[in-house]
Amino acid sequence: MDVIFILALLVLYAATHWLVVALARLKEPE
Amino acid sequence: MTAAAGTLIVCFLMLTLVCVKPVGLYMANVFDGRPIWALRAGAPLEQRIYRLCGVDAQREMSWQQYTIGLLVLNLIGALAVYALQRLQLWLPLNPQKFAALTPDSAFNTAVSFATNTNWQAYSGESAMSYLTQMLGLAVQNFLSAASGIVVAIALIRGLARHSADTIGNVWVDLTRSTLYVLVPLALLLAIALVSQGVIQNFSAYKDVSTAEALTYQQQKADAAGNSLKDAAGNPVQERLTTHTQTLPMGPIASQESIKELGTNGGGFLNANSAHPYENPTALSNLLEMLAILIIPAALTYTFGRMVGDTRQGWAVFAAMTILFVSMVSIACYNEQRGNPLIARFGVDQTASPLQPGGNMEGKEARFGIAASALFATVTTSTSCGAVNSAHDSYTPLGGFVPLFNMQLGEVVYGGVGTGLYSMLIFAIVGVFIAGLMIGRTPEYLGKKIEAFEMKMSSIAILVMPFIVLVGTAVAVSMSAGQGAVGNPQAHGFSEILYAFSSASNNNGSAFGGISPNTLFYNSALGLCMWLGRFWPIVAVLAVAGSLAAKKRIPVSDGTMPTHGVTFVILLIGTVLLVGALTFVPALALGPIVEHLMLWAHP
Repeated sequence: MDVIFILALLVLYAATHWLVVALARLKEPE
Repeated sequence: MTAAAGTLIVCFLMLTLVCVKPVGLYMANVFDGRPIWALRAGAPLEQRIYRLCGVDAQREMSWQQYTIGLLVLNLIGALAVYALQRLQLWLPLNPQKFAALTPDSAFNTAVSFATNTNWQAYSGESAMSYLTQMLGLAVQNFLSAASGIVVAIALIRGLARHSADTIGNVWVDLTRSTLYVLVPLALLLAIALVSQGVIQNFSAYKDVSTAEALTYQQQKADAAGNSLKDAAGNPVQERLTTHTQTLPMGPIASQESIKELGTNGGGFLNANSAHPYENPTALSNLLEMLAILIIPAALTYTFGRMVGDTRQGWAVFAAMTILFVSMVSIACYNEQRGNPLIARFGVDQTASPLQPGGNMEGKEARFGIAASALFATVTTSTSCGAVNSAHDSYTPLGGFVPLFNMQLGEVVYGGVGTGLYSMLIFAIVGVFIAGLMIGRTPEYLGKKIEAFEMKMSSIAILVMPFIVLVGTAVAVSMSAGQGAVGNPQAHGFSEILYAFSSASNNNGSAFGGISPNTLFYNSALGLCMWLGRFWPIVAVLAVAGSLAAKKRIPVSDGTMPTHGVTFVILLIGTVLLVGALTFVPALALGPIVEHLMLWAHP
């Protein structure tokens, strides 16, 4: 269970990191 | 509302107002790096921290670098709190020999304290070692509060700078907000609280024999922690008798002070600020409420100062104050009005010199109606979540106030940093709407508001209602979600809606009546807390970066003033419209229908 919840934390971080990258790309064409 | 309640509210607001300018000016000087006495005195320590961490304090960051730095710090914080909870049995400062928390509870608490939510599915005095409380939870109280402040400061810099690629250095801002703002204020408040009787020690808990046997009822729960119910759907109660009372001990004052100042809200004890060891007197109650509001309110002045026009900050402060007074008045009026079902039994609910009257269920006798309703409004209009009364026991419309405060996005002063940056996002949406109405390109503080800013503002505002409503819908449609609820019908729905509103807005207060320490709620609310905290932060910092890069447009005849009455009304309207349109259908199923049922057949 520990592995699952630590992985869950890492996945939540990764999803938020992805959002930073996605929003930065959204800005580039302007 | 009684005259005493009105006096308390007015005096409290006056005290807050008095603090806004000096504290706001001090924070503006700290974040602008002006050579004030505090920065000069703390410079050796500050420089040592940078050297130890390998930080180049002179290096400015783009919004992406700033955001990633903040995210990494909070991820490390969450992992550390998780590890402390799982390993506490083998670590020092655990005189009660508390076992490790379950993995799902540890996950929920780790996310909760990293996101400034401080939702507590556990009971502090019967689960957490002193080390976990101090090294895990209290440290996160500082770091999560500092994280909120620096996002607000970055957005202010975005508005204040022009043609710039950077919005500051996240490590410098975090260090300064902790070292010069949070730590000194927390130290002062902790000493003040100790003077009022809040305890601060490392003693083991004390067992005392009571003068007479105590018989009490509690809800029966199954092995998974879900409350058991009879055939009619009512919770099963069990009667217990005891001759012993265990008095919890611990370093409470030090945690209590940052709990309020950082708008964290996670109590050392399960009863939170209703417990006499956390909040013993009327004066400690006033100090705690003031501590919750002082930084969020003062940040409006910091904003005005840093953008070079303090009128801008006062306009935001005025909008927040009008909303605050409206909400606290609704709460006070409805709680003082009392409960018609109790009146039916001949109970006198009128205020007199001998009793506060009104709906005293779930409230401490030493605080009464006004100080409880005011605390409930303060704690939910900010992202604090500390409680000095049971919100679940409020009248339907009294309980509607804390629920709606959170659903507005906690912008009525708001959390430390989060309140200001969320309100500025509403200001951007407000000037966009105004621009559409008069056919001009919207601008705010000399910055054109264009498609990218509106997309980011939409994300920042809509993430929260999306996860609240979807989370609530999932919970009410699953047996795992329904099983934890202690009340049937509309009130039970309110309890679930409140839990998801509290988690997604990083408030952390609980309506009560719900047993959320289950795999479902620990996981679902943990997810909501993370997304509700960091996804809007990413969008806000993207706005900050975009605004910083823009040129400043000179003021012209067509520029809409953003420091006048019209703007204040526009800002309030935007906040209320977004909040109302999003949540009124859900609120109609909870507190509103409950209010109608209560008063239809009194």
